[in-house]
This record gives sequence, C-alpha cells and structure tokens, in this order.
Amino acid sequence: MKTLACYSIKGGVGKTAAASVLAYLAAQEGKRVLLWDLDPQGAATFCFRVKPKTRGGAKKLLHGKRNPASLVRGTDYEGLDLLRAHFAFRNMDRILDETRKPTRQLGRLIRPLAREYDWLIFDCPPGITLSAEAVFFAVDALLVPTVPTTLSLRALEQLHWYLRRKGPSNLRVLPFLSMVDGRKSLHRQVCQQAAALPFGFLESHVPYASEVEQMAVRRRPLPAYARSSRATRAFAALWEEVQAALQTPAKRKK
Amino acid sequence: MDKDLIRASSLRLRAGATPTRFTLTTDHDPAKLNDELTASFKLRRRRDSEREAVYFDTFDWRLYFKGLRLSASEQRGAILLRLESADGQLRGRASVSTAPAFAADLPPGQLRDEIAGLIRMRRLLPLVGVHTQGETLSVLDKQGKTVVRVHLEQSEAFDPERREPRRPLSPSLQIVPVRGYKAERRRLTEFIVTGSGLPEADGDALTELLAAIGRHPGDYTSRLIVGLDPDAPADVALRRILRALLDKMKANEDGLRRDLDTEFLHDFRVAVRRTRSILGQFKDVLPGGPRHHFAAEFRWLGGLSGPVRDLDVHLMALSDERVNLPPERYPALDVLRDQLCHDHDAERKNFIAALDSKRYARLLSKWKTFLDKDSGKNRQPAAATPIVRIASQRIWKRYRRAEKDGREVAPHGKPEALHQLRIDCKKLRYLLEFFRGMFDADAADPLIKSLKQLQDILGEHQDLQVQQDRLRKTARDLGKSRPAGWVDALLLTGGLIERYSQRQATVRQRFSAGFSQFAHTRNRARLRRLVAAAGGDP
Repeated sequence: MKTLACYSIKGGVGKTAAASVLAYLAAQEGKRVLLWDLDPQGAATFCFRVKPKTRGGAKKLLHGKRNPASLVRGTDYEGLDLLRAHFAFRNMDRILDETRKPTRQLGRLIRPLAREYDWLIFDCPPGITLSAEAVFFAVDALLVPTVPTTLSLRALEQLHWYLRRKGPSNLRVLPFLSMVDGRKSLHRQVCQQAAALPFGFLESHVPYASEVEQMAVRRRPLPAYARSSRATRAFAALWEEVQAALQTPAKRKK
Repeated sequence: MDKDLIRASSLRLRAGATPTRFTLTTDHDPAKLNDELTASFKLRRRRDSEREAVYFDTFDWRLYFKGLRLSASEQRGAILLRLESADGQLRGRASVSTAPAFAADLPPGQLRDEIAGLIRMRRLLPLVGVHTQGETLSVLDKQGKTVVRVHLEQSEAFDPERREPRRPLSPSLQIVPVRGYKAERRRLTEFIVTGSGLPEADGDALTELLAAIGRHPGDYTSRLIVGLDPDAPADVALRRILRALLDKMKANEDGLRRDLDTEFLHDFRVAVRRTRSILGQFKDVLPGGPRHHFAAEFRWLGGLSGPVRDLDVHLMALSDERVNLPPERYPALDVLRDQLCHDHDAERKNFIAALDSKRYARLLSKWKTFLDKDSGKNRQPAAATPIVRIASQRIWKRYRRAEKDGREVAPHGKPEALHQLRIDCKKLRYLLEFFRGMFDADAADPLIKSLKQLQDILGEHQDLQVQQDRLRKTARDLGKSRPAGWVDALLLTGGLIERYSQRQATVRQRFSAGFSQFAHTRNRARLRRLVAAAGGDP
C-alpha cells in the first residue's frame, strides 16, 4: 500500500481538492483507495456526502483499540472508500500525546489497512502540530499544495527546515503550485521562480478554477462532473507525476 | 414464524459485504416491484446502457473451483477486467488493451495477485458472453448519498465464439451494499424478502449463464476419475479406464492444435502414458494380438510428442532463469531462446503432421472399436478375475520393485538406477490412481502423496538432465549457424549447463530423504492392509 498525505502548513490552499480528486482518479484506474479525512472540519467528508461522526470512538480509534474499518464508508464511486472525519480529531494532538510513541502511532494504525487498499490518501488539517508529525512518520510522501505567493514559499521553506531536523529521513516532499491565477502578476512571477528553487516542485500546476470550488456545492469529485476541464486535466497530470515519484525508492537524506 | 421473516433473519446473519441476488419469476411483476420500492425509499434511478461482458477461465476451470469469476467488458476503447468471488464481492479490477491471455499479460495489482498463482501457465479462454440491460436504483439517504444499490437486470447468454443465438435468463434483482451502511442494506433486504417474496437466486450469475448455453463447470479436469465396480471382470474394468483416457486425449486435441497453452499437450501425453501403462502392465488380461499392436501405436504417438514437451518445459525454465541473470546477459539469453524456439517450431510441425496423418486417424478409430466391444474368443483366462484382486496384486508387486530399485540408488547414485526408479514410481502411481476409487482413501492417499513427492524429485533430476543435453546440442548448433551475438550465447549456455549440473547434485541429496519417506514402514504397512483388504495376496 502506498501512502500519501495532502499537507500544508497554511490553510485554504487546495488540500481537500487535491486529496479528493487524486483519490477519485486512482480509483477510476482500478486501484483500491482509502481517503482518510483527518481534518475535524470534515471538508472531504462533506464533499463525498458522508455524515461526519460527532461523538464516540475517536479516542479508542487513535489509541489503537478500535478497528479503523469501522469508520470507513464506501463513497458513491467504485474502489474509493472514505474514512470519515470525526469532530474529536480536533483533540488529536492531546489524544496522541497520551499514547506511548505519539509520532509512530498513526503508522501502527494504518498497518491493517494495507491488506485492503492499494493507496491511502490523507487529507490533513493545516499547521505544524503533533498530529502533523504523526502523519510525517506514517506516509511515503507529502503532497504540498502551494499557492504561488511569497509567503507560501516562506511556509514551504519552513516546512523543509523542520523536516530536515525532525522528520523521517525517507519521507518524500512533493510540492506543487496550486490555485494558480494567471491574471495575477505575483503568481506569474512566483511560478517562474519556483522551478529554480531547491524544493523539488512538481511540473504540473493546478489552476484556480471555480469548477473546483463547485465540489462543495455539487458534493461530487471534480472529474465526475467536469471530465474535460483544465483543472481536471491538471490534476490528472499531477497524479501521473505523484505515481512516478513513488515508483523509484526514496533517497535517504544525509 | 412467518417463513419470509425467517429467511430475512438468516439473510441478515449472513450480511456483510456480499450482494444478494434474487430471481424474478413469472409470478413477479418488475413494474410493481419498482413502484413498491419507489414508495418506500428515496431512490435515484438510472437506466444502464446495454453492456456486454465475457467470462474467462482456464480450460480446467481453475478460477471457477476456487470460487472466482473473471469477466471482461469493453469500455471507451479499453478492456475492463473484473474479478469477483462467486457471491459477488469485488476482488480486483484492471484495465488492459487486449483480451487477457496469460497471467503475465495482466498489469500488476490485486487482480493479478489473486489469480496468477492459480492459473500459472494456462491460458484464459472465453467461456460465455452475457448481454445485459437493466436499471440501477440507488437508495439515497438524507444527504443524497447512495447507501445501497439495486440492480434490476435482464440478461442474455451467448457463446463467445458464435454470438448468436442469445439465450435469455430470468430477470434478476441484485442488492449491492455500500461499505459502512449495514443497517440500510438490511432494511432494503428485509423489504424485498418480506414484501415481494422473491426467491433467492440459485447459484451465481456465471453458473446460470453457462447452463443457458449448455455448458457445465468442470466439464474438463485433468484428474482421472472412473467409477469402478471392484467385482467387475478385469478386462471390462480396464476398458472403462481406457475409454476415459481416450476421452481425455480427444478433449485436449483442439487446444493442442491451436497451441493455446503448454498444458493441452501435457494432459494429452499423460493420457497416452497412462494408456501405455495399462497396455504394458496387464498383458495377461487384454487380448494379446490387439494389445501388442496398440502398444506399438501408442509408443509411436508418445515418442513423437516427447521433444515438443521437453522444449516447452525448457523454454519455461529459461523464462524463470531470466530473474537469476543480470540484465547485461539478456541479449545472450535471447539468442539462446531463439535457437530453442526454432527447434520447438520444427518439432511441433512434425507432431501436428503426425496428428493429421492417416495413421493417427486409424489408431483412434480402431482403438475405439476395440474398447467398445468385448474380448470375445480372444479372452484371456485372467480377464475374468475381479479387478480388485488383480489391481492389488500388481500394486504390491510394483511397490516391492520400487523399494528394491530405490535401495540401489542411494549408495551409487548412478543415473540409470535413478531412471529405473523413476519408471517404477510412475507405474506404481498410475496403478494407484487408476484403482484409487476401489480402495480406502486412508490407505491410498498418503501413499500417493509421498509417491508424488518422490516423483517430483526424480522428475526434476530428469528434467535437468534433458535440459543439459539439449543445451549441449544447442551449443553445437550455435557454433554451426553463428547468429549475431553467438559467442556470448555460447558462454551463457556453458554457464547454464554448469548451473543445472550443480542443481542436479542438490536434487540427488534430497532424494534420500524423499525415498526414506516413501519406503517407510508405515507406508508399507498401509499398502499391505490395502492389498489384504482387497483380497489380494501380498
């Protein structure tokens, strides 16, 4: 099972959109996919029309006393299941801290899922928190949507610095330009600079598009209602790059 | 208690991820059912586009008997494969560009993982086609989320080679659950069971489709299963076995001619070998003149197919060898492979020519005539003996012979001694397999098992010898024809010969363990009991 986390320090950058659309595309290709909505806001859960859980069980789940499968719901799309958001995930830092090895706990929880799924994709809440650290230690790669602004690049730099010091040595970081608005000159400038930066930006970038925001209105993943839009094609190209990146084994950081 | 409520409860207990199929008989009006569902549930209905799919399996039904169903349908220019268990659970999906033939053609993933080990070198063949038209009703919750689906389907079965005529099946209703929505699934199932009283479908979709075109799962198996009456006269019993073997030969002929996969020839040869074994081991039972004639003819047939089979095995072994070699040596391996393929094609041509010959046609027709009538005035005295007595005597005798020959092997390790033992084991095993049905399974089966293990060791040793000999011949041919890259290929050949020779030494070491297991006093005691129980005289 390959594991990917859509993660960013900043909020509102297109994590949920990327996680949901890539999960959908993977399932369409015939893979068995689990999308885990770790964000207590439950945006991905909402987009797939699943009721989030408000009470009961989250602590037991995160302590490893309850099978994650109990929170799994099939989406309307074959091959794609959702581990729905739980309001108690807002306390995840505290709950994880109560376990013996908080940063390893998530990795332990997902092991039984490896038999049932080819891909596990996390939709993460923003911020550098204990929960985020737990995700860093549980996944093969971070997919980091980055809006092309100066401050976003600073946040990315911060993330890299943090991971170099405290992150696992074989974690891949895959930033990509997200919500790109070609009309803004700042966006255009940053896009040009991005390739030269040492962050390993993926080539595909996802344009800002109102169809993407429609996901929360229509409550269906983008390719299901806008198969040939620019944004869909961009996500498809992004998905190809992510798969290619995870084919080759990770280089250990020195 | 109400019968329908009982059924609903038992369905609930079995509920999980497995869909449930119901058959709409003529008593049930689909339109009425539709209205009832619409009245009680929030539905979204979608008329499905007409779909066609073809089910695949190996000639010997390997997937079917493991409870798996593989189907392929065309969608948007690609072929979508679905693997399901018999109860409808999805076990894998894959997309391919051409119809699947071998496991190696499948893309890596769950589907390939599930079936590669089962089908191994056998080709996937089309079994039956289905043309489906129907409707999908999605039951929705308050969020508009689909919580369970109902497929109402009208299907027609067709022979995938001919397409027409299409045979309609009774309409079916299938409940497909969505993971995590058990309560909703239960509600719907109970509604359908108690409300409409539909009968649950008998068996799965594939079994129904096959029945519609007149095919039965398991209509071919490589195992020899012949019901024998222990007291039947020996020559009558033997003719029954021989007839079953002739049927196996004929069943494999078409696949063999079309070169669908290597196992058609293998099963054909096994049937010929078993036939020869009977002709050889029961000289006192079958009438002398004909027996002698047919023994010669089947020897001719067996001899012709030998080189083709050896090359099949050798080419498969070379493919396996690939993973043991570094990529730099692949071009040399390909040159070697090409040479072997060239030889293989030549041998195959000879063999097919023999199958097309008048001699073969005459053999089959005369053999059938011989098997259908009785011995008449040519009947030998021993022919009237009950088969169970004769079989037990032969088995005991052959076992003693194998034990003796086996003891010769251990100290000297001479290839001829190994070869003789291999022949003994084969003859003994055939005897046990022919007459298995007459004996107590507890006695026969463990013996057959340790015999098989011993035979595998001996067989491997033999294969390695044959392959070394073939490689030496190939080396000489490469030296003569000198294709591009021949020197590297020659060096590789030398390396492989050396490797096979070392492997043979390892195999010989395993032999003593295998033989001890086989000649163990426990086996001997079992066999004694088996033979005594049958009235034989050990």
